[in-house]
Amino acid sequence: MKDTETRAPDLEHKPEAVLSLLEEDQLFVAKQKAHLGRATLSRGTRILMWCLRGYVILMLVVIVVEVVRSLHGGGAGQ
Amino acid sequence: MAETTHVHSSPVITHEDVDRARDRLALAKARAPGARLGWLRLFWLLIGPGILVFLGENDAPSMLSYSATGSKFGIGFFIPFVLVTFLMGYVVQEMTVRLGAVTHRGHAELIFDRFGKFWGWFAMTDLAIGNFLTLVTEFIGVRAGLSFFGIPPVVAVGGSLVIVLGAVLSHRYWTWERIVLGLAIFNALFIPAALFAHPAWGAIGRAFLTWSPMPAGGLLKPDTLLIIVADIGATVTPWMLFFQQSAVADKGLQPRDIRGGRMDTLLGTLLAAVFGIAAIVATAPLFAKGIDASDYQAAQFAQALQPLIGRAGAALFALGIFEAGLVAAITISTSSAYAFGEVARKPHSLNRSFREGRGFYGILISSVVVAGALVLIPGAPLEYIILIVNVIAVLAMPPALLFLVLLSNDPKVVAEHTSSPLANVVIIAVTVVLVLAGLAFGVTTLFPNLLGGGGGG
Repeated sequence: MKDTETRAPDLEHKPEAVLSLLEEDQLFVAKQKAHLGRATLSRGTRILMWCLRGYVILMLVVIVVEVVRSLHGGGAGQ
Repeated sequence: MAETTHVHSSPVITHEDVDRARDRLALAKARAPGARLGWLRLFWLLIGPGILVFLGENDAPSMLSYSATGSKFGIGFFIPFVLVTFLMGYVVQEMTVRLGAVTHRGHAELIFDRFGKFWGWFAMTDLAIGNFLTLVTEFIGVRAGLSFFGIPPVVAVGGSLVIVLGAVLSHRYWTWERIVLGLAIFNALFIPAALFAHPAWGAIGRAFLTWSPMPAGGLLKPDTLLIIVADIGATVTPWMLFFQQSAVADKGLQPRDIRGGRMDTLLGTLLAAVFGIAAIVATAPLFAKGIDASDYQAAQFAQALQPLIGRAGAALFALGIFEAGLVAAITISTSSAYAFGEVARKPHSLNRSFREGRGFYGILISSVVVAGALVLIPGAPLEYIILIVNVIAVLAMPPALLFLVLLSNDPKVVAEHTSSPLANVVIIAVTVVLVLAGLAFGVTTLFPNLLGGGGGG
């Protein structure tokens, strides 16, 4: 807290003023200790998440193919 | 929303909280009845994350993608196309304003909380890989932009590292934000560069109205698709979601500031769209002269433009590429640091001192130093790397958008500030467009003749 004392003397010694300016869950300690909890996902949402994950992996393979081709001078990017 | 935590019935107040309260106090004074020029002061205080995220996204790879666009296709289809991609970007980024202002938490933290570690680590892996590769390309831009002026790569990269590190020395979000905003506004250098190209205003107007001329060979030609995907990637990328939400939380915005946050985001959107289109216009003379600039680097663009738009115009273009890389290096490294701190549940605020935020600043500093060092390795196909990094950003975006839609429609997260049906329709459309663009890119890459586009350009 040493830095605080030198940098914010107006509010450093007035915790009640800090609390009045910030929302309760805006305090660092509150954010550290409180969690929102897991969302309940529908079956459709879970399937969509897996499909999009598969899409990313598939596309990464495409990128690798594109890069390998371009390194050999035959790709679209060259 | 999160429950309040007290320690021995008295809340623990940190340095970070005090600095954030000072920012809230300034806002309260601007909102006070009878405050002189209150609305103007309020606007000044609330702008920041939205402008920074969009001008940060107008980074070296993005501006070089726009330059490749202008030099390859001239003024036509891509002028309105780029504007539409930015408007899509606004709809996406507005959601992060609501999420950050209501929850006071970053995007990574919310994903881990709501979807668990399994999906959280997937998202973080996408972000970490994308951010680091993009960071490398920012230093490619820095190096290439300054090489136009004969500045050696080591000096260009080293000097930029000093600026990036200098911006965080204040240990104060507000000061950092103003410094980076001051640097980011130099993205406007592309406007005078475009004016030096003596643009055909009639052709620009016709392009906006008719989306023509269309690219030769159609939109499904592989090199045209690569540019389309790269231009989309120049506007909507995962790091933007993580950065803006974390910055909104670090700035201390609250639900009553959401309207101001939207204005900030809209202003950033419009500025970035104008500057991006200016880069297309500035490089359009290369297309008119039939100069093939498909594998140009920044300095080569500037050198090729010099006979066409003059030494001053070319110098402005090169400086613009340098600035674009520098500002993005700051915002992207900060995005990585925020995400790391949120996941590790360590202090992650620019209001923290180095001692208090060791992990946060450690990630920020180490990522820029390693990325800067990598681009000093000679012989890499830099322009091609830049285009591919933009493509990777697009491909990683759909899962990130799904998390964003789920979070921004979750009443347990954003209370009454859930997304409007129109915003949901737009973001679903954006996701579908991104997936289709990615699939079309994949098909034309694996089977170049299947869609009738012919081979690579």
